Amino acid sequence: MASTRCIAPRTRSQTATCSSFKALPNELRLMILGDLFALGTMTDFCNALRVCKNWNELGTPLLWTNVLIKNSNILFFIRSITLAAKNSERIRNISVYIHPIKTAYLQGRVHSKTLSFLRFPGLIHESPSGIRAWQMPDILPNPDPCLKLLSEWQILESALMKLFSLMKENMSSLISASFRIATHTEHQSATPITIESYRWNIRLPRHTLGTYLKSLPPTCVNVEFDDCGRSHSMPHQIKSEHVCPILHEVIPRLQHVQIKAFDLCPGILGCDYLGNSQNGKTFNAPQLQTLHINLRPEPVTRMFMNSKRNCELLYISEDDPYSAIFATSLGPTFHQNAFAKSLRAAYDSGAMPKIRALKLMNWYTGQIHNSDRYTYYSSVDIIQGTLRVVPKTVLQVGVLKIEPSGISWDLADEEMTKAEWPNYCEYAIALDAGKELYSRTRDAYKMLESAVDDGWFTTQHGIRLPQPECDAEPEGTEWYAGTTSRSTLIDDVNAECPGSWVDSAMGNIQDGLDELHRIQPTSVDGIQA
Amino acid sequence: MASASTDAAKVIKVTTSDGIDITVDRQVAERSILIKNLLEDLGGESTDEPIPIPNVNEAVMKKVLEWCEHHKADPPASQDDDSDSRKKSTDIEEWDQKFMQVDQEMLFEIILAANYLDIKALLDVGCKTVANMIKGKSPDEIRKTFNIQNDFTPEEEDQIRRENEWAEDR
Repeated sequence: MASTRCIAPRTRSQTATCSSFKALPNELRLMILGDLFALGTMTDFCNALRVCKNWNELGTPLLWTNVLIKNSNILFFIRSITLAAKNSERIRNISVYIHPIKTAYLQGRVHSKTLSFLRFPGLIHESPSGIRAWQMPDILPNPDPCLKLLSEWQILESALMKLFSLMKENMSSLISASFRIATHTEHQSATPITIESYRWNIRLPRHTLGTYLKSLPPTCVNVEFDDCGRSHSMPHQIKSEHVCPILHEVIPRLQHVQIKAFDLCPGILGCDYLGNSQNGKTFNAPQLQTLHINLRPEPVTRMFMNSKRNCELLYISEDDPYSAIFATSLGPTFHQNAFAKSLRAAYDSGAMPKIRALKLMNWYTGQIHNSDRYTYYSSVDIIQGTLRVVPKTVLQVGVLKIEPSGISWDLADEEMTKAEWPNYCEYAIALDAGKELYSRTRDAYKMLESAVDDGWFTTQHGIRLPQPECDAEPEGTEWYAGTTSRSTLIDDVNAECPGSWVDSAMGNIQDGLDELHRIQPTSVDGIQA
Repeated sequence: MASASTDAAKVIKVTTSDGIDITVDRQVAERSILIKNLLEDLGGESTDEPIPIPNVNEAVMKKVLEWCEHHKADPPASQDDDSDSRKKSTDIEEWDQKFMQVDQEMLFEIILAANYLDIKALLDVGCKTVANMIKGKSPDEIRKTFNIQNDFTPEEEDQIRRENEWAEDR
């Protein structure tokens, strides 16, 4: 466009003296800063913002448009907003990504309930007894002043609450918000550690999610959250902490929603699991375009479902036969089926005139087609009425041998050390038709999940945004190790499933419902007043 | 291209800001959207009249035309998605890297000329070259490199550092 170019002839003073940065019009300076933002590190860019007032004015909006918050910077970010609230008005997209990391501190030096990489000056202090302990930063409200020893997780929790309140009060231009907890630790060493090992240590109080949803400013129309199955209700607060009524309230004004959480109720779209509308009230989500729900118990799978309290969290009454079913291995199937039914009923009612993707995903551990027991995803496309199950065989640890004759795959031999594996691969997903998908990290789960259904994508700078409507690969998207692009990933996972694997979701749902009708539950959802 | 006028329109002349006439292949010169549009406005008729380029001197123009000569066979940049194609190529190709190994004065002159002549790909290479010069430097080193005056007080600079600290890699 001509309007963005500087076409006016330069004055004599500009041409006469030696050309330098000063000769460039602001448009070109901005272009250079934009390239630095894309090509350099964030430290490079922050350094450039301190060069002079002009560079600062030009570059500051770039820094603040898309904001990625991690363990390592959440406290710095909160301090920054405390110093200068005006910057937060520039934020259009915010992505919060918490990933617990194991460090030496886990060996009991600081606190056993640590997630680490929560960084801030003065966070760790020496107590009189010589033990190093966490110190609450001044910028945060102390959750409980009586606590003598804080866990890092408590500080994080308090920081998240503070962040959400800043989101509500200051981020008046926000469009998209994402809040995720990592499935697995991001660890530097060769052996990643699953959070599963620390599942009873690392928990997020359930009201954190509710607060997040309640804090979305009115401008924000795209919302994602992934609690990784580790948000939990505090004892005796089950009903008040339930997130579904808040979702039910918020969804009508949203455009793109992705939820990955375990304890969601069928009924967030206004229809209960039997497909009846809630209390005769009409539900409308006129702007809703995509809704992806992932009922993720992973990585807390079986333990979680066997816990009576967690079943109560989902389905209020402990006498409820639905809860009883849920506690069995059939639970996830019933949950998914009931959920699918309620979503389909809401779709059929025409409450979402703009909807183009309505998907429900579930994680199972079970047995299918007489094969070995293994974990798999099933994904229901509510609009199309189809069900996909992937992968077709075991997700396993093994060695990938890359030789001139071809690639071969062996199960991991425990006697073998990693040094002996020239081209080892920690996870592989074997698919039918001889196709296999490899990953050198435990991200294989996430990789698979995104192949099955991920309504959002991650930009080069770690920002989560809804997938655009077209099939074209979104610009700047990162993909997990072992794959090159989403399109090859889909090819690898064989998105076109053979007929035997695509069952009629409607039939499946009906089976589940017949069973539910037979046992006649009384009350199964958390939305009813 | 109409075949009858092809021969006549093969070379054109441009006059630089310092009054030098340069003869150049029309195909090469048309890497510049400004020149291309000018020629089109003339109705495709061949003209012996040199095209005045009042913002670019001979030395810079020759350098720019050297780039255009090397890239004359490149597919033309589409008008609409220039911002997309800019971001996609993060690397500067080897020939362009060598081409940009000039003194700073010439580098900025090339950028200004590419902007004036509307040669997006050259402008892109120029901006990326400058961005690469900024990389890995402290604010003070950047100021020294580009001879920029620090107009912040130490307090202001520290305030900015603290405001932006969250975004730094750690």
